[in-house]
Amino acid sequence: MALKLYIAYGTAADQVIALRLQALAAVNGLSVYVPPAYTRHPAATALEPQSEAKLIDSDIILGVVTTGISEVCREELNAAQGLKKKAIVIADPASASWLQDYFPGKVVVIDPANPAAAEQQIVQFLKQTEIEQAAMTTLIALGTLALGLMLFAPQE
Amino acid sequence: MAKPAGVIDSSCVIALDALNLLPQLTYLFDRLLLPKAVREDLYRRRRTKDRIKALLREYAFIDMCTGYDQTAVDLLLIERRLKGREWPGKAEAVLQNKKDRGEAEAVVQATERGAMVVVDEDWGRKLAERHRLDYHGTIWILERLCELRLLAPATVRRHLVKLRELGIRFPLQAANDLLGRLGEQGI
Repeated sequence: MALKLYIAYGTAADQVIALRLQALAAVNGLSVYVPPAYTRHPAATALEPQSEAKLIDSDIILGVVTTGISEVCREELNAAQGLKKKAIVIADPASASWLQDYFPGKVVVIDPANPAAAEQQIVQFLKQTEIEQAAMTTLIALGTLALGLMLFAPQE
Repeated sequence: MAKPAGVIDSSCVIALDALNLLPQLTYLFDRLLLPKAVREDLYRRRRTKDRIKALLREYAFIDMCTGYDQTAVDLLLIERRLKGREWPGKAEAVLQNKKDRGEAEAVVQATERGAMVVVDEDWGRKLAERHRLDYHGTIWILERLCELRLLAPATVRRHLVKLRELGIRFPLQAANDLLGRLGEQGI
């Protein structure tokens, strides 16, 4: 059965990274859920039933936070903690400092000067999870791609 | 690396949505803009109206673009109407035709924003060329997604067959040329 991923992206601006990862994951046989953009609207504060069901059904939760975090993204990451899901959050240095307090040991900081360190952290995290080799290889590739997408994302 | 913005016409939105390929356009465009006239054209039918509203809520990179030089669009439509006199009886229909307005607005909006035009219709493509804009259609998008390994050649063929079965218009010759380049049988 295909490994199921849930991408909890920080704000609507991060959704493009999530959609690119979803497209790439799909051709590699992974099933990826990306919550709709309206859930990142400031007025949205609670996890939607559909997102909650997808989160419960997922094997791995991947957080992508580059420019801040919406309330619903925070809810998703908290729910992942509560459900004891395998979760990893890739974040820029500014967001990572406070995310570490909420999600200790699960935050990979992207340092533009040293992206290899972040990649190593992703590999280490995935090695600790009990998933088969082929899926792990794909996830490492996706993690590396996420790093690339975040590092080369156009700056507003 | 920044990707261009794309201004898309209604026929391409319908085709790419029918194939569930709009999210994959994030690999080609940072933003995909829906001009006002294109939205109005799609809003005329309940099914596409609901779908466009859902897409705008679901995807942050798909956005409305509303402000534009309306005079420039009107001039293009008047020019189109005058040329339409070559075929008596069609001129008024052309003026009223929302599709034409959508194509004209897509070109004017793309010119103002330095964006690429995503259009299949002949008149829209000619306008884009005249405005020296980068323009492509559904077939080019399928080819680019195939080059990026997001679609297999056999999937491209399946998609084209599906469009034909759904009665969605696309340039058949260009489609078969693409299938030939991909080593697939024509449709």
